[in-house]
Amino acid sequence: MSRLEFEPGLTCCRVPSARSPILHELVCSRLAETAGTAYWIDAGNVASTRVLYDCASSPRVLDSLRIARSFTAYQHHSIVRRVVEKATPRTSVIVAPNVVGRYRDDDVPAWEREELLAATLETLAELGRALEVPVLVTAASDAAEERVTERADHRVECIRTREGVRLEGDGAETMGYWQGAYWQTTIPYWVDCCGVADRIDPVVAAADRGLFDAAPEPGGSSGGSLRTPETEASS
Amino acid sequence: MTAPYTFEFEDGLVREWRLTEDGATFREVEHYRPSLFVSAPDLSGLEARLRSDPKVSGTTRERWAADLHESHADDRTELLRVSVERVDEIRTLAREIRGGDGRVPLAPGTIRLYDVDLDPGFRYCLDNGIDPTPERGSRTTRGPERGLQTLEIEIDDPGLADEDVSELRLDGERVTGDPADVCWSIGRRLDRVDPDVLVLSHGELVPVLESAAARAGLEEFHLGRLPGWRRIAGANTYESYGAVGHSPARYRVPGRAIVDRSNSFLWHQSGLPGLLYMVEKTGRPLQEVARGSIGTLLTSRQIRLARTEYDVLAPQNKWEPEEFKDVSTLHAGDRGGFTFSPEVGFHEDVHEIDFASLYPRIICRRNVSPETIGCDRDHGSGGDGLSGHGSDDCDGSTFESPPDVATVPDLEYDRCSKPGFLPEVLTTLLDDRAEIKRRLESDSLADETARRLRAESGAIKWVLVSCFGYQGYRNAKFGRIECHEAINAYARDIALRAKTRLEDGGWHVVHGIVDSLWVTARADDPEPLEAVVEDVSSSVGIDLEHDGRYEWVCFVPLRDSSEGASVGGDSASPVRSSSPTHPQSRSTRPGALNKYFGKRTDGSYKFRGIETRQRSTPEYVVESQREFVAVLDRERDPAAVCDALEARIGRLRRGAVDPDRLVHTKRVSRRLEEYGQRTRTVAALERYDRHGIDRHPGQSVEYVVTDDDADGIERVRLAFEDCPSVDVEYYSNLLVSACVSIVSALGWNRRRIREHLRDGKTVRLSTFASSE
Repeated sequence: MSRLEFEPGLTCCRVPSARSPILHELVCSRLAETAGTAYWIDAGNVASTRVLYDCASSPRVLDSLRIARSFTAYQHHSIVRRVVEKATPRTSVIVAPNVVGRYRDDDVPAWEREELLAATLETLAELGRALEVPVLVTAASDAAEERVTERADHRVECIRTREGVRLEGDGAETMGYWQGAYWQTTIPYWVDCCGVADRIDPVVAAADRGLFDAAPEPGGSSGGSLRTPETEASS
Repeated sequence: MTAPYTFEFEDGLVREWRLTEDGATFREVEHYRPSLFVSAPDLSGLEARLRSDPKVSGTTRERWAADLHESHADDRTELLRVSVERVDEIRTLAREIRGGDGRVPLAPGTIRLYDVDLDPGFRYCLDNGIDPTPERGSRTTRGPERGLQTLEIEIDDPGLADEDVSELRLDGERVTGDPADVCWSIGRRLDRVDPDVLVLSHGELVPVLESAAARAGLEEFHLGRLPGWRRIAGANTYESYGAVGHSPARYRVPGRAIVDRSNSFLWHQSGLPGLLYMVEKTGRPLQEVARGSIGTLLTSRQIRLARTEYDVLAPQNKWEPEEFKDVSTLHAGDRGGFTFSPEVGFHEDVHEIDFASLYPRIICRRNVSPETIGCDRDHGSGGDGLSGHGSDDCDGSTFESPPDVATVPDLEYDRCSKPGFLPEVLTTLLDDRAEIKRRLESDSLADETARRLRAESGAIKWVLVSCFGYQGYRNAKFGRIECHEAINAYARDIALRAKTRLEDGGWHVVHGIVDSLWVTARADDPEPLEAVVEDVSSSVGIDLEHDGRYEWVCFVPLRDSSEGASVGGDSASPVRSSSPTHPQSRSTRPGALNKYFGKRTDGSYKFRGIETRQRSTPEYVVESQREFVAVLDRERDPAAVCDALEARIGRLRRGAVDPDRLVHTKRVSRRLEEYGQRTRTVAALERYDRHGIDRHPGQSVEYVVTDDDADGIERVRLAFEDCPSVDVEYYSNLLVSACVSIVSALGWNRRRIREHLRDGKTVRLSTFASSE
C-alpha cells in the first residue's frame, strides 16, 4: 500500500528488481483516482496481467490501461514515439518499467544503444513536461538509475524493510505493508487517519530500515513494542 | 549446364563452382555489386553524400513495400538502393548510414535499412536468381546424395587441442602415423575421391591440416580444389532462447562445401539429403545451410519469398512494435498453449491421438500471418483491426467453413482472408512432408529412396517445429507477437473442441499437451475412436490422427509432489487400472506435463521427459531405467522394480560396471572462470584445461564422477582419461532417482524405496552374495 503523488514530468523510481510489483500497485492506485487513459510501455514482460489483476481493487480499474510490449530496443523506442502521438493532457499516467533493459540487449550495437536510449528518455521527459502528465519509469540497477536520473524531474526509491518495500522520495508515502493476512500499518497511515500528533520518531524510522531489531522480545515486556497496531485487512 | 553450388568472395571477385560429370569447374565473376536499401526522409541528401563514398559503386531509387502490410495493401515506398564494391563492406556502410560514424544528426529510427545481414552466398544467389541446389547425373541414377561426392575427416578433441594430426579418421577409417604420412594419405584420398563436400568433425581441421601439411613440406596438399583457404568468421559465444551456445570459427576452401559437424544441427538430424533438401527450399548454398540454425533456415526461406513474391526486403532491425492493447486482451493472448493436466498413475489401454503439425497447419488453414492478423478493411497497415470490432468485408468466406473465419477466438483480432505470407512459406513444406509420408507408407520403395525421404522429412519436421516459436522470437525478421497469440488461441480452441467431441463419444481424456491427447474408453461401449477422430478432423479442418495404442501408460507426478504425498502407500500397492470400475486409482497429485512412459501394443516402449531421455544421463543409468520399466510391465508391482534396482546397485558395488558406461555428458553454460560454485562441470572444465583443450560455453564436457565429496579436480575424470574408481554412492543415488521416476506414478517415493532396500538387505540371501 504505497502512494505516490504522481507529479507531472519524468519520475524515476528505483525498484529492487525489474519485475517488482510495486509499479503495478502504484499504477492501479493512480487508475482508481483518475479518469484518463494510462499507457504502459513494457519491456521484459513486466506487465504481468496476473499481477495487475491482483493489485487492482476491481478489474474495471484496469479498463483505461493500454499496454504495448517491446521485445527489442527498436520496438521500445517505436512504442515511445507512438505514445507521443496518442497521449493528451488528459492522459492519466505513462509508465515505462525497466526502461533501460532492452537497450542492454546484445543485438543493439554499442554505438547505437546510448543514442537510442537517450532519445527514448528525452522523449519521455519532454512529453511529461509538455503535457503536464506524470511519466513513471523504473530502474532496477545503480547504472540504470544513474542513466535515467540525468533526465528525470523527480526521484523515488523503494527501500526494503523488515515489513516489505516502502517508497521514499519526492511525493511518496508508504501506508502499510501487506503481510499475507493483515496490514502492517505505518506511522504515515495513522497520521493520515488521525492527523499529526508529533513528528515521526526517528527510532521508528531507523527500525523501518532494519537498522536495529525492534521486534518484541519473546515473553518480555520491555517498554512495549515499537510496532504500530495491526489492523484487519479489508479488501 | 547446372547452376553453381558453392561460391567464394575474394577481393571483389566471385568464384562460382559448378559440378561436372567427374568434378567441378569454376567461373570468375567480376562485376557483382551487392546492395543494401535505405528508407529515409531525405533520400536526395543521403544519395548525394553516399556518391562520394569510395565504397559505394552506385545508387538508384526503387519502389519496394516497406513491410508485409504495405505489400498486402499494394502500397510501395521509395527506397534508395546503395550498391557497394565488395560484399564485406555492406555492414560498414550500414553502420555509417545509420549514424554510427557520428556524422548523421537524425533522430533514431528515421533511417531504416534493408538487406544488411544476409549471408554472402545466399545474397548472391538471391541477387542473381540462382538455385544453388547441387546435382550430378540424371534424376534416376543419383541416390539420396544427388550424385555428390563427400569425404569425412575426423579428429578427436585432444588431437585438435594439440594440433596433432597423427591420428585421424577418413570416412570412418582410422589413419595413423607421422603427421606427414597422414597428410599425404588425405591428399591422395582427396585426389582420388575429388569430394564436392568436405564433412569435418571440426572446422578447425582446415587450418590444422593445412599447416601440418605445410610443415611437412607437402606443397601439393590442399583441402580445396585450388590452393588456399580462408577464415570467414571468428568463433563466438552467443545466447539464444536463454541457452548459451558456441559457434566455432568458420572456414572456406575453394571449390568444396564444408560441413562442420560440430556446428551443424541439421547434419546430425538428417545428413546430406536433408541439407540438400533445405538448399532447394531456402536458396542458401550448401555450406550456409549446413551451419544454419533451424530459425536461420526458416528466415532464409521467408526472405527469399518476401523478396521475390511480395516485393518486401529483409528489414535489418525489428522496429514494428506491438499495438497498445487493453489488459483483458493481453491476458487472453498470453495464455499459451492448452494443456489438460495429466492424471498421475498407471492407465491401461490408452490411445494417443494427435494433430499432425498442428501449429503450421493452423497458420495455413487459418491464414495466420503478420499482415493478415489485425488487418483493417482497407488492407492498410495493422492498427485498429486489433481493437476487436470486426469488419465484415474482410471476412474469409471462401477460405474455409468453420465459423471462426473473421476473428481469432478469445482475442477478437480481425483476420483477413487474402492469402497470407506465412502460409505460403509453410504450405510447400507441409505438402512435401505429407507426400513423403504417403510414399514411405507404400512399401515398394528402394532403400536409397526411403533413406532420402526420411532425411528430408526429418529436416522439414524441425523447420515446422520452429515456425511457431519463431513468431514470438524477438529477432524474427517477419515475426509478430499477435501471430504467436493467434496461433495459441486457435490451438486452445481446437483442443477444447476435440476434447468435447471425444467425451461426447464416450472417451475420457487422461492427458493432453498442445497437439496430443491420450484417451481411454469411459463408457463400456464408446463410439469407435476412428469415427470420432474423423469427425473432429473434418470439423476443425486439421487432421487428428490416431498415433498409437498403448497397453499401458504411466504419467509421472511432479517431482516436488512425489515425496510428500504417498497415496498408494499401502504395503502391496499393486498396479490398478484406470478403467471406470476403479475410479480410486485416479490420483489428485499434480502430474508433470511432459513426463510419461508407456508400452505400445506392438511391444515397444515410449519414454518422455524421464532420465532415459536426458542427454546427460550415463548409459548404465539409462539401461537400468529401461529395465525398471520392463519389470514394471512384467510384474506390475513397484516392489519388483525395487528388487531390480537393488541388483543394479549391487553390480555397481561389485565394480562390475565399466566406467565408460557411467559417463555424464553436460553442456557448458559459462566459461570456467565465470562459475561461482565448484560443480562437477567445473571440475571437468579444469581437467580439460590441464589437457589444453578449450571448452566454450555451448560445448559439452564428458566425465565420470570418481569422488563426489572431493573438492577439486579429483571429483571427476574425463571420459578419455584413466578412471581409477567410481563414486558408488553417487551413482547409486542416480539409480534410485531413475527408479523414483518409474514407481512414483504408483505412489512410491524415495523414502519408500530406501525402506524397501533396507528391509531387503537383512532378509534376502542374494544381498549377502553381492555385498563386499
